[in-house]
Amino acid sequence: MLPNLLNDNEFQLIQNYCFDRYGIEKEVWIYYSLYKRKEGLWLVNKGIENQIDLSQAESFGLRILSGKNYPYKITRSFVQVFLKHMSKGLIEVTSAQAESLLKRETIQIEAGPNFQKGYYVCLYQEKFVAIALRTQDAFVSQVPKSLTGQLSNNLKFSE
Amino acid sequence: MMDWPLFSERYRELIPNFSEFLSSLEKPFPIGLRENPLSCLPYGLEEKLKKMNCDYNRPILELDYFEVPGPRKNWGGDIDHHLGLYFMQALSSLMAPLALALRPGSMVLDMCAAPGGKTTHLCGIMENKGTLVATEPDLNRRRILKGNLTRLASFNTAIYPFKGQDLPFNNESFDCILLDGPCSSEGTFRTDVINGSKRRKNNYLEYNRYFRESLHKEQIELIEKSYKLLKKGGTLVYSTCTYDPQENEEVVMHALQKFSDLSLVPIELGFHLDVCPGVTQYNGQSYCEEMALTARLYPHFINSIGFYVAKFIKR
Ligand SMILES: C[S@@+](CC[C@H](N)C(=O)[O-])C[C@H]1O[C@@H](n2cnc3c(N)ncnc32)[C@H](O)[C@@H]1O
Repeated sequence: MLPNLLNDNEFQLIQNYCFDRYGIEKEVWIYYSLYKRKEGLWLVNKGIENQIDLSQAESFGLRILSGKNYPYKITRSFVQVFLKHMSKGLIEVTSAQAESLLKRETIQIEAGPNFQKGYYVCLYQEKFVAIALRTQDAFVSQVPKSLTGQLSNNLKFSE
Repeated sequence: MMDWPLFSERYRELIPNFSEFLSSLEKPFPIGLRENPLSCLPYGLEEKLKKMNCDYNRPILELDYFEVPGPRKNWGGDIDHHLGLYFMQALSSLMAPLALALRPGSMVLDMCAAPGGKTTHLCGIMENKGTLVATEPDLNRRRILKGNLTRLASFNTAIYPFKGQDLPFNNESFDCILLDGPCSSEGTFRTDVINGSKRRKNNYLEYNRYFRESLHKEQIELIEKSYKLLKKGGTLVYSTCTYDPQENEEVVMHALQKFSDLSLVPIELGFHLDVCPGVTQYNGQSYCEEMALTARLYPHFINSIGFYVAKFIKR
């Protein structure tokens, strides 16, 4: 599989999107390349394609954005790589809300004046809990089904 | 005490303090958590364990590695495990990636990668820089490998579905190679693991000559291929989790005899670990004196699985 790398324009669009939506500074991207594959964008180290023959590789890098187009959905890998660079798109939840999100339940939150639709990173005590899609007055948990059973059995958040 | 005819018949003379070795197999297998330096969480593993009031042990202060009370499934289901804060791994297994003494920007091959304990450790040491090639021929095990790489946020890794022998790279492509190959896994046998495990059915617990010979043949093919793929000046680490000299020293000896520019070098970890030197004789076979530079890890000296590591450089 050869990487279908984003060209400069496409790359810039992603940088702008991540800056506007998540406050990720553009300089953060200098070490990375992005390529398109299936329904998503994958992050790899810049220049990996010049170091090794990727034509027979089964996969490489991490899928950081899923979907075919804007608004891309951020993945857990996106959060893992970029959380420390994010200054927007974050929301702190209570322990009860954290548990609900991990059970894939929707939580109700009043839309403030600066309400913006889209994918948010939910934190509990600064710790990443889940990605949620914000609609008019709710956060819809994006935790994958495969994880909920395992997680909710073991989770106990205490204030 | 459980009877271990496999070990008593073959290794009574080989393994020092043999009766202590046998009693160590009766002790429960400790659960070890290796912290992932690529984790994005705003707290470290030790901080988490302290917060949980967990009765943990840090066997080697130089390593971010902690032994914790069981059961394993509780740790496997822990949210921080899912978020990539740590990998559950035996202490002995850390030795192979550490022995490579990697630099972050290197070109590295992990030749038998799944489930990825050592691959993810290598990524961490490389700080996600450089290029790591991981190959694994077994589809199901490759899925687990991918899951672990994703969970631990490794993005410098390319996964290939080949047998090590069939890797399609030019000779002398890699600075460092880890060959943690298929082996008889004797080092993982402990009473609590063996009871109820499938391994009884797989002839692991008795010495099956044909099984061992096919393993030996594969190990030889893999080490020969590793040699070819290694750059001049590069480092190769060969490791197994077995005690069997046929799968350890004999494979190393074969490589040394076949490739005159390959030599063994001391394994420097930067901390003390109670290891025994590789053996220079076994069952009527003699190996070279340098074999003492290779390391045997026994569960009665370090409370972990049995392991073997050899480090070569190609001049
Ligand atoms: C001891 S395990 C590797 C453990 C792994 N390095 C880790 O730390 O998680 C050996 C692996 O080698 C794979 N294997 C078997 N034959 C192989 C071959 N010819 N080439 C490459 N890998 C092979 C097995 O499927 C198995 O996953």
